[in-house]
Amino acid sequence: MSSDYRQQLEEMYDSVVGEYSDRAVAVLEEVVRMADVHQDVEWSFYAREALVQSATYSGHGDKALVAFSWILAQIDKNPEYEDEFEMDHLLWVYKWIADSLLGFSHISKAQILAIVEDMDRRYRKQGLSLRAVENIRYKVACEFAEEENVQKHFSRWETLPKDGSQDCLACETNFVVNHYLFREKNLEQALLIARPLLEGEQSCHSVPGRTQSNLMLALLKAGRMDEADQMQRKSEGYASHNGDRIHSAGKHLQFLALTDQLSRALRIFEKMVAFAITSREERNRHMFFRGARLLFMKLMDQGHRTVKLRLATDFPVACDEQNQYPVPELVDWFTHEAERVAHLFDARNETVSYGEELIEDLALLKESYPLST
Amino acid sequence: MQKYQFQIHLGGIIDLLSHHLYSGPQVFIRELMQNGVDAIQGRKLIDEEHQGRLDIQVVKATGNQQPSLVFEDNGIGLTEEEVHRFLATIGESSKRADLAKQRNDFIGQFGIGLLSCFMIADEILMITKSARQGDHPAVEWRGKSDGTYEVRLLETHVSPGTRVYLRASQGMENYFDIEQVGKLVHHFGNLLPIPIDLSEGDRRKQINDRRPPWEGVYYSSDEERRSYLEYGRELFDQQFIDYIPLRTETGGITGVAYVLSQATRPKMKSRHRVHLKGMLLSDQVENLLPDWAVFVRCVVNAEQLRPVASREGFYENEELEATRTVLGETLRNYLKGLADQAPQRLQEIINLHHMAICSLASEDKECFRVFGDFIYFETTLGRLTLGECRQRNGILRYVSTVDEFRQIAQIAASQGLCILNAGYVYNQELLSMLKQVDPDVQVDKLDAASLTNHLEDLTLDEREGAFLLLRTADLTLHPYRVASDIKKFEPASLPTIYTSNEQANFARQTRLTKDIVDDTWGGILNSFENEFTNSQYAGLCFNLKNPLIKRLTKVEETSVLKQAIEMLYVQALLMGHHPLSDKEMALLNQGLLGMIESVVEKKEDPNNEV
Ligand SMILES: Nc1ncnc2c1ncn2[C@@H]1O[C@H](COP(=O)(O)OP(=O)(O)OP(=O)(O)O)[C@@H](O)[C@H]1O
Ligand SMILES: [Mg+2]
Repeated sequence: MSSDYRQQLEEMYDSVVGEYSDRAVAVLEEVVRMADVHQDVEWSFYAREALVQSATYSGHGDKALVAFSWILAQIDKNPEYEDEFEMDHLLWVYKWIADSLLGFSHISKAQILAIVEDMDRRYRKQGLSLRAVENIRYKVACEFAEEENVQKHFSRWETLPKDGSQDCLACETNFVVNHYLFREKNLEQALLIARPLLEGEQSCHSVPGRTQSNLMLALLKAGRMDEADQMQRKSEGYASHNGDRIHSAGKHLQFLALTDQLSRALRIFEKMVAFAITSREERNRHMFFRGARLLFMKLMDQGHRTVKLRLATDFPVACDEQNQYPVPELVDWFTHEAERVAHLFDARNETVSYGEELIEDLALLKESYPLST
Repeated sequence: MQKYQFQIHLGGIIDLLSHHLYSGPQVFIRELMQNGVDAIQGRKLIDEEHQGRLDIQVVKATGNQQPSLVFEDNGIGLTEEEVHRFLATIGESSKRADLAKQRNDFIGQFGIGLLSCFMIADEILMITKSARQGDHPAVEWRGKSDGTYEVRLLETHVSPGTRVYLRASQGMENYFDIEQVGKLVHHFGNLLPIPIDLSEGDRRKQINDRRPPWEGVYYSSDEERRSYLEYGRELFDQQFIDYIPLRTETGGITGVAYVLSQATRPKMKSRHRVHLKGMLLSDQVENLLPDWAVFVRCVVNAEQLRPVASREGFYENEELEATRTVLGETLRNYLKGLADQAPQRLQEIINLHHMAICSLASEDKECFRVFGDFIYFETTLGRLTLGECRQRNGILRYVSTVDEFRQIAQIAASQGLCILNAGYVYNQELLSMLKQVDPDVQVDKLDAASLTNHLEDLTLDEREGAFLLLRTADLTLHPYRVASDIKKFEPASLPTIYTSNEQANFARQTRLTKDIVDDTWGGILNSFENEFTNSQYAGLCFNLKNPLIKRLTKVEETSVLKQAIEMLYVQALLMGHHPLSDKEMALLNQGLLGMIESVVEKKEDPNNEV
């Protein structure tokens, strides 16, 4: 049993490290189990670290979080690991984890705040700037619709120093863009700030794809159709790619439904729906379902009773032998899911915004947004 | 507004270029050879018949004189005006596109190479005589590392060409040792088409007297093979199992790719030895071949690719991209050729470089068609090639994770079922490629948990008999989120199988982690468990064919049953490579102690049967 398993571990690890897919996550989970069985602490850490990354980037925030909490606990119990382990990196990852908690309706506000406190404490202990923590506080305030706090945390965030523990440059720019877009409702300013992202000067794993997916809807609502169309086409590749993108994919479904580009929307739907159905990242999945709901409503409005879809078999709505799905049932299923989850979030947040969004979606569907051809 | 020019601190720039651009002082030899070769090329442009030659002399240290080197070429030489213009102007080169009609004729192009000499000498002395202007006197140029230089015309007769004199600066004597110089000249220049002589006193030797195998003419394929493989062995100091001659229009590549005899791992990078017009660029070039081609190591000469300024790699441009594609094509064709002519060797290569081959076949239909059948899969009947799997079974069945595979392996094997493990990288891509290439094959994904559904059911009587065992198992295992079942299956030696799926595994991991985290995180993991994973049960299926299980169905005392079930459960976990929680560990310990106790009791009182 001695070094034999190590070789096996290494082989499995090497074969997927740096890959972001369900398969990579499954293999890394197996590596974790094997390392744990052999009480190989070094590999237990190592594999979980890779798992956190792979799971985050493939839409399995739940798995990332469990692996992450294990690492934290081990370090607390055995402070000597702190020297061996890259604490700065671990804390850098903390913000993904803390951020992801907001997206699960069964995690309470108190629980989230306790984690932010924990993050704060660890950042201080490590002597890091609190910029990343403030960033999370801002996001918490947004989620719970605490308008004064939103402003307060944004101003504070701006003044805190960058020491490498904050988000990458592209993500930070994206963050500011979102602030102007969603909080200040100032599209002009948002576009201006987004320039380095749109011109390719700054980019990362999720930016500018995510930025463009947000801007396209804002441009649409402002009636700037040509620009909106461009944004959509540029970011479609991003949004129809992997399990960590279902949130953006949902926005694309929405956009394409509103602009009456249904066959393009169906293509994205086919590509991404399996990720969305199996995802446990509730808020992201919700965005996808919202988009899907609009898509099938639009199809129904246009008189389509059935639609042909190529899907994995474990889809909740049944089809006939020719892969024909009944549109009304699809509408019902996605509406039901979207309403159910919206209710859960509004209940936790003590807000009404999730519910209102669904109503607003219906209103948008009544408008027409023709693209000039 | 007044315009100013940047001021340049010459000494600083020279220091920067000479010490920081290149990978080390040894490159001065390369740069001098390069200039010599270019000069000879320049002379050939005006006199086709000209026979070029490079001559390097080492002069040993004497008394308080440092050792020195003389680098001589019979190339084009320079006039006084050219000395000022090219030699003494940093960044200026006689080989720029607008000056030399075909930049392609020359290796040099940046106008900085000569500066590398300042890494090993404080002064460069050059005597040069132009071959273009016969009546122009020879020129002596003396350049210093502080950026100053002197020029003087010579009256003595000198034949056309250039000599560079360098005296070692303090601490750099090593680079002037004849052994070292010989090695470096060979290292950088062994493919140069111009003879290079190295001498010290009256010792003299031609360094590059051997031509590479792709320039040879062969009378038999055996001879060719021997020549190629021997060259590779000497050059890289390792054995290769095969060679693939390379020749492309794009990039003007000639050379050879050697097939490594040691197994390669995924994401490994292969490093190649690459020359530009005969001059070694680097033996660490990584971007020459497509990513999947990790199973070969190349030595090549390129005529057209563009070097980066340090001359230690290629510029990543379209031409390089195109070259890479063509080289990839060559390797592909080679493999396809093997499938026809030497399937044995193809199998050998696939065995060694499995990942590389998988990665290629998973992306390329045509390649898949040709050697997909040679690719190995781990199956419940052992390691089989895809071809073998297809011969055996009408339907290909696979499980998608390593964990599931382990759960079912033993039972499937004893049932003679061939199930593929598709939990590793490329496996699923390969299977879906198979479906594309041959739409008639049926490829089915199997769920480990559902495998137990296919096992033989009990008769009604047997069910009756096993009732207490199952009921006790359900009660006992409920806290561990395990549901029990009973079936009949081979191998009879296996008392139970433990099945779980991705969700049940995750649920288990969440519970285990919950045991060790602090309260803050504990609360969160708890919510997760309740929300997603509480309904996820793993399965423990008893095997009625197993003698022990058969005996257990006869036991009526529930406390004994309970203990046995707990032990079987823990054993099943361990067999399935599942780490134990504290509670489960306690079960194991209690169980063991209990067993020991009863064994000891038996010993003490032989009449006391359990
Ligand atoms: N041996 C030589 N014979 C003739 N001309 C030479 C010789 N060595 C240098 N020169 C002249 O000096 C110039 C500068 O040489 P240098 O090596 O610094 O630059 P280069 O060869 O043009 O480009 P690179 O920086 O790529 O080597 C050359 O362009 C050439 O005109
Ligand atoms: Mg040069």
